[in-house]
Amino acid sequence: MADKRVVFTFNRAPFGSVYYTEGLRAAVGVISGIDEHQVDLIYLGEGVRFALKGVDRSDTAMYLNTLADYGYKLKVERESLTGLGIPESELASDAEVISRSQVLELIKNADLTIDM
Amino acid sequence: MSKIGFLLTGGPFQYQHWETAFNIGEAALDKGHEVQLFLYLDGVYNPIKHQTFPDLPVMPKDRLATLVEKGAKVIACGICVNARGLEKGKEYIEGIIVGGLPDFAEMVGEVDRLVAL
Repeated sequence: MADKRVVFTFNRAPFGSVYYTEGLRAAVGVISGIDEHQVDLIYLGEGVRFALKGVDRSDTAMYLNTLADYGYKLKVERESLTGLGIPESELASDAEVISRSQVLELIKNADLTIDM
Repeated sequence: MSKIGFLLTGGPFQYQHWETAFNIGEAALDKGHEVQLFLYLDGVYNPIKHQTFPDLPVMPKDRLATLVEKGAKVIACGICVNARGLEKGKEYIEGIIVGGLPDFAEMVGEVDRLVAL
């Protein structure tokens, strides 16, 4: 048993499947165990749409509130936003933009990576 | 010996995630590694004992039974199980544990590698 650093990547749009919310549930589960695991929540590709202003978060609010209480932010890859033509001004206040090289660094330094 | 974990979200009969997970898992067990699987979302459909499908020579539940026989620890997310009307896994094959995300957190702490499928 050991405390791990776990990267969760969210690659799917926040509609059409349950991964955007069930991934957050899993992340809450990971940080809530006896071990004090740390997580990073990284939004990539179509997944960045979840971090936009005005997205209906009613089914994720409970998980997001817990994660916010632990100090976690939604990390959004800049290159994904650029690729989709989404300006950073469209992001919600709890989103933090990071570069692709920062994403790679987080993955490199993680013990485990989980794609959602 | 290493410990390999699987987070399986794919159900049977639509995608091949289960088959990939079970192939890798069985290969790892045959080489003496420890294997744990956490069945999440539609992954919890894989252990149902009444599976039948004429186009498949071996059912997903039979592959899973083989993994269990070879020593794999298999845990299904209880919320996912009950959400799908599987009633605490009462129609599951032998050896499947119905648990919860705390079990997944424990698995995360124990494994050397985790494969999400």
